[in-house]
Amino acid sequence: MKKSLIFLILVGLPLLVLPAVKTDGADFSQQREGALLNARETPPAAVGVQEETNQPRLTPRILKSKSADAGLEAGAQQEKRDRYKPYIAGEGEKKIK
Amino acid sequence: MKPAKRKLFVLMAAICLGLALIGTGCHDDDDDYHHDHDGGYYGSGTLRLINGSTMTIDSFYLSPADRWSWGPNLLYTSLPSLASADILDITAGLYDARARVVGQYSEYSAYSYDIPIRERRIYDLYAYDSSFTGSLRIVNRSAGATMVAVYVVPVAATSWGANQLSAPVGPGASLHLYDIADGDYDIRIVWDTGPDSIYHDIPVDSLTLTTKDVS
Repeated sequence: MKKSLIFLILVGLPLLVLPAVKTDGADFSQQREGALLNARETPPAAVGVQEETNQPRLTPRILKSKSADAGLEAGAQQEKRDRYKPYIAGEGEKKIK
Repeated sequence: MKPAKRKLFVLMAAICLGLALIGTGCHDDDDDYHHDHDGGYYGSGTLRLINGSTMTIDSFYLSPADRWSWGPNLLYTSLPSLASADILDITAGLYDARARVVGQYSEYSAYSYDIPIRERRIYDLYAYDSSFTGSLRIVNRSAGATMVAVYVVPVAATSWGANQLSAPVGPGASLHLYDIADGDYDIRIVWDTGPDSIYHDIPVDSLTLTTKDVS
């Protein structure tokens, strides 16, 4: 009887826990650019430029909102796209989680 | 002076002289930045863009740090992966830089600010895959509701920031946002009818388009 109870707890507990960790944001899809996928299959030795932390490098951080010249992005857009408006601390309605 | 003391004196003098020479040789007031080097025949400052990413860089912009426009594309042709390009004859000063990639799914940018350009020096600037922004597509999968406002902010943000929509998005249509720094984001959708929808921890990665269906 005790063994059956322990068995049920061991098997049943993970089933109860699993749905609890699912989040709202879990259902999304991602498309990585093709060259990036190929690069992951390339041995590191084949890459000519080695990434080093102390090199001056470009980053994805947008610190200034500089405007583009007219026609800068022309020809690149096949669908309606908008540039992301970066978050400014405290701007907009307060977030309640 | 006794011979032993003289030897010691000569030895100490030699050590001092050696240390002084080593110190002079290593220190160069002009070398505030170890990553730039002599420009050789270049008369003014040069920026060398080194594409260490796996993507082709389609355009590159360099504008004075105090200017609020990026100006024209400075690349004659696109810059392939593992190639480099020199931007010549740059007047000394501080500059902001932007490299742009147009991919299969979206477009991405990489930035660097306050780059010191000096006369007769070459500044090496590297771009890697992780240097670039990511993109986010939000698809309206509702049966008949229209998105009237969309907020996308980093998970750590305490408020919802600016509305990302310039016009309402109806059923089946989508909003494609580009130039987003990599990280995890919270999304809030305001509908024309019904309560708001909120989604947490949506990842945005470099050179990647994340698609999120909302309803």
